[in-house]
Amino acid sequence: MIEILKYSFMQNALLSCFFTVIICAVAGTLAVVNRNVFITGGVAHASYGGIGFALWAGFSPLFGALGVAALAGLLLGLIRQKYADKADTLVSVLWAAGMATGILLTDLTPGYSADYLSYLFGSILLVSLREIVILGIFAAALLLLAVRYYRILLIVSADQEYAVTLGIPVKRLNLALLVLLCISVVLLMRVAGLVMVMALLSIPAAIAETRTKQLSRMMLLSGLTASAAVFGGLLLATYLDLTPGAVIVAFLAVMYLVNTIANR
Amino acid sequence: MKTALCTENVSFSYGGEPVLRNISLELTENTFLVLIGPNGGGKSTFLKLILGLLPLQSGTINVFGKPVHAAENIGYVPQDAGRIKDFPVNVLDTVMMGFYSPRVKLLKRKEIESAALNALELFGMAEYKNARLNELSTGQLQRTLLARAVAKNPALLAMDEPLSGVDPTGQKLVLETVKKRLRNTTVIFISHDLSVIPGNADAVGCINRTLTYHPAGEVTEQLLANAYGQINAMTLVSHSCRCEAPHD
Repeated sequence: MIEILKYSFMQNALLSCFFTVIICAVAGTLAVVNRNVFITGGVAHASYGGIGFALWAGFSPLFGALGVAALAGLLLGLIRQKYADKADTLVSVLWAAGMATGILLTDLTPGYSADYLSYLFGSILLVSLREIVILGIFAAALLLLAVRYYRILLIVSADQEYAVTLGIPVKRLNLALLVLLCISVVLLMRVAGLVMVMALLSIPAAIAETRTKQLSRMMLLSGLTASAAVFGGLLLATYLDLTPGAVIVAFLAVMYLVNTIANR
Repeated sequence: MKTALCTENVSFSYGGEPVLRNISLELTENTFLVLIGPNGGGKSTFLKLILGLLPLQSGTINVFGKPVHAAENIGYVPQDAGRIKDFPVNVLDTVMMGFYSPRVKLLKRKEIESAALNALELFGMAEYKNARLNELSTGQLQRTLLARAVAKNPALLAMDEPLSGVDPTGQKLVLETVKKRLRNTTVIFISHDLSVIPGNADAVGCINRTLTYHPAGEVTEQLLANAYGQINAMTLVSHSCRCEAPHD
């Protein structure tokens, strides 16, 4: 088991897991308390359109996915501010239209690309150094933002009306949070794939929410839960030669079940 | 005396259905205004416009001479606590939220915590400081939100039925505490309980699409008839609201 840690692909994967845990702790917690989990699913699938476009046009799928996810986040945020009751429908439309566009453009792209499969199901063992750097910079920025602006994030997430009376620019902050969440979704797709990324962002935070009375502790506990699942899942998957993303999500699902039963 | 709140010809409608028509009101500093009126009459809408929670459709609103979105040091107690009830936040952190301001330099955390604890003590909630909000009763939750609004001694305190869910003894205590705690604060207090008026209100406004405004001692049958309808007003006057005499 220790032997495998000597390989650079495993070291890269472990480093990715570390940054993933930070993103799960901060972005996942904010997604859960702001009831944005369904949006993460929609954006993950919509961003497949960006992956298809990037493969077809011949540039990095990561940037294609990031661009579409950020646009989808902005669009959803603006529509939700005007027509809150229509957001659900729009998420579903983006979800399906993004997938359809991605599939069509992949069909039209000559040759075979393994890239789209790695975004569909995740491929943490194949993460490149460039991707790790992007993941690391984003995770660090997210953590800094959470620490520096913790009190504003707390007020805006807990009580938007009260935040307005305090003079906090709630609408702009909500948009910014949504875009950050969408970027998080795309970056975590390399770990769990777009089909399972919702679990990474929602389950650790959902477990933590039942066990804490403070947002900061929820972030911490969410990070610890994600650590157990991500590192445990990766090592077990490597040992048993299974797909890491699937093992990680299975770990999380079991933890959620146990926590739910324990709370009864 | 300075003007705390000035509204001119404020009208508002939801989807074409008019809720408020040409509301003009000028409140001087330190006034305690009680707003009464029937459900759906527009009281909460008017308050939300003053607080910037709803977009102004027509007319103007100035709070201490500034447009709504530039107003500072406002305290607010909502009618319904909303999603904060189920949020992972404890009582102390909730009250500490009241001290945040993007425009004014913040106090140190220890000072904020000490002031928040002081406010919780005043409202009899200090022993629950570590409780999560969903562990509190409705009355305790209202006291927490009152402590949050009052803690920083706001220049304008807007309260939308803040005593709903608080038992009668608690209501008296809460009102006394609010009045004792506040210094140089203009209060707008929405209530269906007319017993709040005597001994507390300087003025009474009745909102039922339009506004009628009276000094507290002049709460008449006509005012109540405008607010609640003729028959209900007679009942209210005979049973609960004799504003000339202090209410026991």
